Amino acid sequence: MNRTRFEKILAVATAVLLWQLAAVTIGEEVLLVSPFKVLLRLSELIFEAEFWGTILFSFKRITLGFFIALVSGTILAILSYRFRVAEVFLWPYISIIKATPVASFVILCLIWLSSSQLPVFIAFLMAVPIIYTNMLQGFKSTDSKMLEMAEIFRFSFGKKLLYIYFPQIKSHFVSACSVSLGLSWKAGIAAEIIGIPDGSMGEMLYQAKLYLATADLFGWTVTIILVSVLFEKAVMFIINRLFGRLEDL
Amino acid sequence: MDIVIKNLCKSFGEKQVLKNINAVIKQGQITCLMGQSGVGKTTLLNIMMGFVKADSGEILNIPQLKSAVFQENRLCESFSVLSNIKMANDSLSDDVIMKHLAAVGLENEAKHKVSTLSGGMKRRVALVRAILAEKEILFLDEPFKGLDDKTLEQVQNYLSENTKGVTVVMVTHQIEDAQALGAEIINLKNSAL
Repeated sequence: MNRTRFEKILAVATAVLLWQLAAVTIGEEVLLVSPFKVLLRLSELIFEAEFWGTILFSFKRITLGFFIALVSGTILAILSYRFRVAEVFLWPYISIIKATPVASFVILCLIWLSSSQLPVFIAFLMAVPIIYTNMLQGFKSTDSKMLEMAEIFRFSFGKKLLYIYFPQIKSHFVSACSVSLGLSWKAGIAAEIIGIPDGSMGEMLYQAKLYLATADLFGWTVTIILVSVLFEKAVMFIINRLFGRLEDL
Repeated sequence: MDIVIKNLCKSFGEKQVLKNINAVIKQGQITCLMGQSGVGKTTLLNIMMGFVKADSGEILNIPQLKSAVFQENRLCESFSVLSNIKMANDSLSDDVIMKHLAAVGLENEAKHKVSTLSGGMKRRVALVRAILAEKEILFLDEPFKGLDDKTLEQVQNYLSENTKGVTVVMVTHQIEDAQALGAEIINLKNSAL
């Protein structure tokens, strides 16, 4: 085990210990449940068929929203890079989306969409400006000297993309995905809590709040964090492998 | 056809870099642009390559199929040596590339990423890429920069053997480089004066 990993485990163990101490000191489960109780509740939940169905419900929608944002954000960034007019006319939309609170969008979208479509749209909406901005930044930072080289050797568009643009935008793309994945999950779940679609993780959190079931609230929160982190790690792994494969071509 | 440079002028802001340059670059021969630093050698090369527009004057008969070794190598660092050479010419077989790499002492580096090579090795990769690209004219901006004496001779021989009949325009500070390649010399300082 390397030193950094050991330090991280130590930090987490200390945090859990402090949580346990705080829970014991307060002595009121409704206010702060102990980590042991959360673990116990979680171990009960995972044996319920509904638990996995609920995760799948939210996972499908938030993931879909993220991937739509990934594709459309990238296409919009390419358009803005190629045509300045696109960047100019997209600017107000991107700025408004960035500045508007998630709750405002959720309430507005509840008028337009069904509650089950809501997390898809909100996850998309939160991710798209981050992906767009990062990708556009990546395209703009492309080395003009490398583009001259591509011109001399008469690179096709595909070759330019592979040899010049991909290596340049890689770090921007990775950072865009990393940031927007976490945000998609947070915003998607927030949308579910407000819209309360049947069978969603947001609905479970809402019910936990309604019935003051703090152990359930913490249990679902831990589940959301785990699913979100695992999904982020999986996407990052795939992205890094894809870029690695491209460089081996 | 010979390339004819007529009354070429170029300024960057207040600074006039090229003033009434007139020259003829013979087809199928190596021509060296020489002169002190800042005299406009690379600017002239960039105008010929089409990256910089002249303020006035013209260049006639510039061929369409160009190849180049740039002042900076401009290699794709995260890709292999083979990929970097193939990107300039898809039709090349690995065998042909390997022969050329062997001629400049890089036969063992073909599959290595460019980022792992030394400065001198990168220079040789850039040169092999330029030689193997389809071309009617080859631009070389200080192609021997960063090469040690032993490698320099090897690379000069390689260049001589592989540029027969090709129009080459080379920028260099060293008169010895021009002499080793039997090149025509255009002294830019004299032209500017």
